[in-house]
Amino acid sequence: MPLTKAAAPFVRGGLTVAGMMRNAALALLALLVLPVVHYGPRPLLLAGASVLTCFACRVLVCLVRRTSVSFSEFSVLVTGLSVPMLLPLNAPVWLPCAASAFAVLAAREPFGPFGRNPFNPSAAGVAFAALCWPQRVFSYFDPSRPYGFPLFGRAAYRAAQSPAAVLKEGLKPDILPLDLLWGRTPGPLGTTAILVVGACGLFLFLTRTAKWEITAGFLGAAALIAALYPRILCSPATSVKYELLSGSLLFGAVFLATDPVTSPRTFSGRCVYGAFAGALTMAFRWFGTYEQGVCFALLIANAFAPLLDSAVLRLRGWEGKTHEA
Amino acid sequence: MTARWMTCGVNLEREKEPSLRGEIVALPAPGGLPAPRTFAPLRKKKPGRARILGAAEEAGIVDELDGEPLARKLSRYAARKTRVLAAVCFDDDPLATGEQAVLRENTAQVLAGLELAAAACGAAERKIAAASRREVRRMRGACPGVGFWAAGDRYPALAVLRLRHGAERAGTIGAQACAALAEAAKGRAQCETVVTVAGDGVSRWMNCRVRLGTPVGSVLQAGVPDENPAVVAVESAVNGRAVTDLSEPVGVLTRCVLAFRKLPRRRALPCVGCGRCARACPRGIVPWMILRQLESGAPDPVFLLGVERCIRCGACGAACPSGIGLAAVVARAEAVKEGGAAPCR
Amino acid sequence: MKRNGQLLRGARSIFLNGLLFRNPVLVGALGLYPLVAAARSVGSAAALSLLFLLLALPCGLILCFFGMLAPRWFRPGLVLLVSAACYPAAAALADLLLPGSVSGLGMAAGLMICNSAVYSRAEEYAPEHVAAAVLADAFGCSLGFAGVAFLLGALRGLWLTGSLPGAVLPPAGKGFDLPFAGFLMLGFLAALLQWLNRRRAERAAERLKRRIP
Repeated sequence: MPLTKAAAPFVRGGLTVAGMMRNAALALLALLVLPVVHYGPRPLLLAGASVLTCFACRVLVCLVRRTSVSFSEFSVLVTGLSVPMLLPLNAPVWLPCAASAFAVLAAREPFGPFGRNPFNPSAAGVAFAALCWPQRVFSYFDPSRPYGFPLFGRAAYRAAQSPAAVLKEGLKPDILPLDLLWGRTPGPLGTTAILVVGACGLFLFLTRTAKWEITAGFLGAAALIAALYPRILCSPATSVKYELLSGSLLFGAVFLATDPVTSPRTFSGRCVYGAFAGALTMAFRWFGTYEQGVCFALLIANAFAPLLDSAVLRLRGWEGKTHEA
Repeated sequence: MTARWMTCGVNLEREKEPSLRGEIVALPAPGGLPAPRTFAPLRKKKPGRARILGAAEEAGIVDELDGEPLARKLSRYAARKTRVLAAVCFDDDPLATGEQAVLRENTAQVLAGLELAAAACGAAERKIAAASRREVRRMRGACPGVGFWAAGDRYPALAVLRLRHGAERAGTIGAQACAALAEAAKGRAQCETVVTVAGDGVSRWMNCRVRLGTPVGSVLQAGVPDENPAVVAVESAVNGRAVTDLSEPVGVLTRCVLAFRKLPRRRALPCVGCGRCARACPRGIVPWMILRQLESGAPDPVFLLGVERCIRCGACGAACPSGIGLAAVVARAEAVKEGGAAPCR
Repeated sequence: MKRNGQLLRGARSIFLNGLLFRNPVLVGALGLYPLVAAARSVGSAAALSLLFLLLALPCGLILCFFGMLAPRWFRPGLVLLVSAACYPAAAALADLLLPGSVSGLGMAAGLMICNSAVYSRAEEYAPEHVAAAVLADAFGCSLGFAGVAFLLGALRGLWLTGSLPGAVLPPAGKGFDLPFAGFLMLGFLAALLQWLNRRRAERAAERLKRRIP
């Protein structure tokens, strides 16, 4: 029997990159279920168009570079799915496509192979869309009226302000904070169903695809600032509830901030990074122009991630070579 | 701050039950091997240190944990004034079970050998490090007079155990070495070893007691292997090596013979930055940083922290979701740090 | 005659370097601010380039003749003084040629006084090289700057008004007005230039290899 000379290891710990990407993609698909049930098949169209654009851009870049189109398709799928989640359902179809194209062409491909991009592509794509077409990105429809959205073409809908916009004006939103959990409020496509986002988050933590310390740091810092500096006149607890449950804060904390490529690699680094991103998000909510600042805050925090790693490792190195038999 | 032993190591899927179901099977010695050597046994009930060391050297006992001759190891422990001596009765490897089987079946021999070894190095306390708490409960009754340690279930269990009990600076010897020492006291040289036959390329997983020098092929045949396994590996599934020539003789370090149907998947993706390798390393090395330094083409030795501490357990490579061969990377970094090789990426 | 020929060839290569291969903006990363913030249309790009030329030439020449006389620590200040002195004339001339352009630039026009490309060429290059070289360098850098400015201005102007014929491009609105779009475009242009430079270096190496048997 011809035996081959292979190198160890011959068995592996169960986690693979493909598995992690698959879990993330599954979680994102789960977020699409509720909108499809409530509003018809249009969410699928948006998600599908965005994913197709991502794939097309990636193939284009591979052709230009004359390399073969390789494995990391899955991570492109995750980018393509998370971009339309942060955009409204009533956005024209070209909006998530433009955002995805920017995400892949400007935030992922120029930095080389998979695993090297310093900035989260989905956050970059949505930030680009927010800067270029702010009216379209932040105009939501009122979900209390039942209407179906046609697949193509415009739909007649009544515009409404999302709770995040109301908070930005300094007024208290009309709904009770805990009603925000069910997802029947105006807001981006995938971020209003808080319970589903939380469940997906739990799924990602349990399968070790995402690291819980980032989300914990993010939410902790945001909650602290919300309690200490409420934007509206109310008790700290209400402020915390409103801030954490409105806008895309929770979605950003669970899906975007935990991207393993752009977050730091050390435990303490990750805690600090999560807290930093959370604090920046609240700062953008206080002082920024737009009602949601998760994407911008995350991009800034991404820039600091390698610095945090170096700092942690240097501190560890200075502690000296500790314990060893 | 959690101690590192609590979180380090990687969870590998362990399949120990199938090979422990039956007893250790003694394979017949192949023709052409010399008869086992005998010499004068130790006469006294409690022999002195020099006699025990002499017997160990005469018998040519090699410790299966690290390949060091037992006599040398025991004298080293004596010089270091070791207080605690532990017999390692578990296997790091997820598929091997030789030590456990030896503890279960040759308990008296292991205990006797451990007592002799403790006398030889002057250790006051004796411990048996068993594979799990359940194993400890199972063997406690049969082993009076010794304490027990339970190994964790993360690979590499031995390194984790050493970290955990580092303060006591215990000496460690293998269970088979203990048994061989007991035999040496009776005047018999070390001529056998227990080898686990496992892997999805064999249908019968078992522990075999074979003569040292038996060809690997005959051991493999005892497990009824498949027609065409792709890889046959010895020593370990995680940091062992593949054999191409099945007439290679079995040695003390050959703890297991594993046959696999398929080659392990080799498509290495770029580093994702999950940090699992740093968490898995029992010595506190940060493999992803070392990989990044080497790939940059101009490695800064300051950042190649601790590469000389590497014990080549391979936990980092096993933990990596991208499938990067991190053990080789750290070895190359060690060469670079010592000022020899160029990073050559 | 021969020396003049050598001088001309040297001047030509300095000029080309300033224009393309060692473009001050794309390779030297100098003078980014005016381009990124102010080059939003072809008109503003023209105004910026004109100002650059009208500032770089006199500064370069004056520093070439008198730069060695000033002590080293004073040279940066000297450059800024000369630049500020030339600015009113340059602005007036630019306004004459392109009416209304300088005021359209706003703050970016005045900040051209301390443009890092002008400053670094005048402070480091000019005092230590002959006048011909300084002239060639100033022209090359100005043209290089102008080239990048026109490219940026044209792209952003096109995208802002959405006047690409026949395409379904939606007007990008305010987004491309912002500096980040300028930086991104500069990044891609710089990458293109580096690719060109690399191809050139590879071809030169090949030619060298073929010449040596």
